[in-house]
Amino acid sequence: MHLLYQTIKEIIDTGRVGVPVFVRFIVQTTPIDEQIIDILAQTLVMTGSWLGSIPAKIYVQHRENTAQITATAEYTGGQTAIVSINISTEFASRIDLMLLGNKGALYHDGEAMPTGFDLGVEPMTIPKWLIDVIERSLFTGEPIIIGEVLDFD
Amino acid sequence: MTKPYGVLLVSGMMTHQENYADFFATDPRCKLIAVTDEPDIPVRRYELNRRFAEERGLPYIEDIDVALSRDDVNIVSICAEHERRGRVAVKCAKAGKHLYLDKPMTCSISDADSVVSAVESVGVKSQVFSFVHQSWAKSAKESLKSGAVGELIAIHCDVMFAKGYAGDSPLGKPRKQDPYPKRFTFIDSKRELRATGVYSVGLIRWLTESEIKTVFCLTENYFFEEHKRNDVEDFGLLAMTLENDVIATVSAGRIGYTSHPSHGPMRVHLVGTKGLMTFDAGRPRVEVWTSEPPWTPPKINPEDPMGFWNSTYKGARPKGTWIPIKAKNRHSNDVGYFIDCIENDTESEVSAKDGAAQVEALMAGYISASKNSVISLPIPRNIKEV
Repeated sequence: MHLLYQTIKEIIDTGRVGVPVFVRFIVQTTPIDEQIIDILAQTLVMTGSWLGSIPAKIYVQHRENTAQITATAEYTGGQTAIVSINISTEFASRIDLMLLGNKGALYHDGEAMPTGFDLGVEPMTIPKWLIDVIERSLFTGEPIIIGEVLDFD
Repeated sequence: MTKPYGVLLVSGMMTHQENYADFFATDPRCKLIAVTDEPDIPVRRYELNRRFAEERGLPYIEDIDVALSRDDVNIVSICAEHERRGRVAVKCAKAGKHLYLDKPMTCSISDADSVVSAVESVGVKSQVFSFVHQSWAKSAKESLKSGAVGELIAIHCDVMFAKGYAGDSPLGKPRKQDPYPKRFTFIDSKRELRATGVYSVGLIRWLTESEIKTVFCLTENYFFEEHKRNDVEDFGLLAMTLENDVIATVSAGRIGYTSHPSHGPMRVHLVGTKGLMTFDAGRPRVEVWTSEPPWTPPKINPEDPMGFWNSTYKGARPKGTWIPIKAKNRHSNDVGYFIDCIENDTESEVSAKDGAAQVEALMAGYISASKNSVISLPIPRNIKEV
């Protein structure tokens, strides 16, 4: 089992790339039971774990009748991410990842992914508010500032 | 118009003219005529222009109107500072000269409209420098045309430059963006959403052959204290929809010398109904690992602390791990293509009109980042600031 999530987290924890500030995360997966919105939410949570923050602003783009969804997110400390999930019936699963720190960068090239590769991360708890925010952005076509629309109390 | 075509250079050292002049000089159909500029430029710019002309054995003509009156000038390569390049381009077009334009073409939508209007009314050819003639971009275009990814659904483009000494910008807060930035030229920083994002916006429009319909943008300060001090973003994201309903995203910025084994990440990802394909400027390549000491960034030149220009880091040791596979005319084919357009009386695929569309998307980005909203294009032209 290859543990991408843990590997990235451990490199970040060494401080070699400085403070993580941006993630470009492109996932292509073969059809699975999970809803594409749930995969997006899980990936945003995972990205936030690397960035040490939670999303503060999310803009989600999806075209009807396509198996693709993209979110542009700003996290509470000003970190950002673009996460794109694509479900393919013809191509193999892959993960392309670029994580920028303020003093270095990590690159993971999805084309070199071995058979049987997965993220190697325990399913993360997806907060309900995150699904709500994703759906709200899709419905309105606008970015959602999470602090303005949700009551965390 | 007879060969060799005379090329006039507007502005010189410490601009992209350092590269463009070489492109024209190596094309056998062209001959460099002179360096020129506006007569009232600051002393520093004047000295840089004169030095540039002297180093290349060219005359320096202090008044651009005098230079444009010469019959042996057919083409003008324009690298005036961002704030001046709109009016300079209009002047050159009205003089009947073909325009090779640095990117981004102008600082405002109104200036961009003026350049397009001048070019179209006089009937000269125009081209804005872009990456579309690089082999990785061409491969992406061929894959789209062949249907290798199926119908295009989304396109994601990253262009960043691994230059400058990163790590000294204070972190922890989102950036507050001015919706209508006015100043674009600094010795030690550039508005990187524009300066690097323009490549991706240009590639996306060229690859998809579709106009940008909406823009959402985030700008940030992650890497450089210089950018922060000048209230200039060193990083930016764009999330766009195109008229053909394709979703497009861009990440752009300057990320520091040591963040990449070569010039910086430059990639385009095509997501189609069949799946994902990625095209990378760093491929194909040869990787070299040796017992040499590892590469270290050059000593900072206070005249150019961010390492923008070749002339200020002459003799600096280049990174040597990734060696691109050589291609014929790898760096000069953008100019070569433009000369083809002039000779064949065809419009460039990245003309002033395309340059204006790039400027509009980028300026919409600043408005979006400021207002935290999605901006629809075209932007109404009755807004004073555009």
